[in-house]
Amino acid sequence: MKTWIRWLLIILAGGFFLLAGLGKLAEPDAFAQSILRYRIVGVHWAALAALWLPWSEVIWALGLVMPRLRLAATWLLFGLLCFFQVALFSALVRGLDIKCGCLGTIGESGVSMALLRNLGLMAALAVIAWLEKRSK
Amino acid sequence: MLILLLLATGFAVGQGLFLGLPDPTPKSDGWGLTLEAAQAISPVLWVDARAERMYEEEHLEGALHMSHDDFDNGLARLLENWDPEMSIIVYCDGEACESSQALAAELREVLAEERVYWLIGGWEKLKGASN
Repeated sequence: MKTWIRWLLIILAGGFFLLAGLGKLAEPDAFAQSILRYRIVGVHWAALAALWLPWSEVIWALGLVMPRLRLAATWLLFGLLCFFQVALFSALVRGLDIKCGCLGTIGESGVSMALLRNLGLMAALAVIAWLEKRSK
Repeated sequence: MLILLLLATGFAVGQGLFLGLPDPTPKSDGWGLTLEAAQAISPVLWVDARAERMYEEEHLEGALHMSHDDFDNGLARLLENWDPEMSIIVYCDGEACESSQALAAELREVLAEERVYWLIGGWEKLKGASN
């Protein structure tokens, strides 16, 4: 039962990050613009982040399906989500009229929706980490 | 954990080396004006395309608020204040926003008026110039 739940959560969370990363890799300029709209970093850092974040999502999502890398990938993705939540929350507080930019070319959502979705993903990753530790 | 970090960084560096850095500046449609060019135009009606909350906090004197989501009401306000002799210049947040460009294109079409521009650098430029 626990193995079944663990794999379901891995497929859901991993699939989300894989699609999100690939969607951003397909349009790096558009993703860099999305980062810039948060008005947290300047043009140069937005370009560098647009290069690194999609690969992190893709590689770490693939890490979730590899037993030896799973726990590390889980915590890295959890950390990434914490960072995204801070950026989204600051955009909400500052009243920025922007889209999340979380899924690249795959789709678009508002900031509030993205905050809620990320909470769900964080919960899923926390359960994966907990089940992974218990199984060792 | 280090392997995962190195792999992500390696692929990102590889992409950067082969394809170059992503360009975050919005692609211009040719209707963008620099602040200097915008200030040389007269008479002009300024349109603020930022979030309504930001407009209420502070905006360019005489500027009207308009948004894509509430286009019809904004258009009604604009028609009350616009004289066909006036050019229209739309601004949004800053370098990265695209709402001014989109709104200017929509107004050009609806008003069948060529002289509808958007301000490159947006509110950040206007604010910088007033300080």
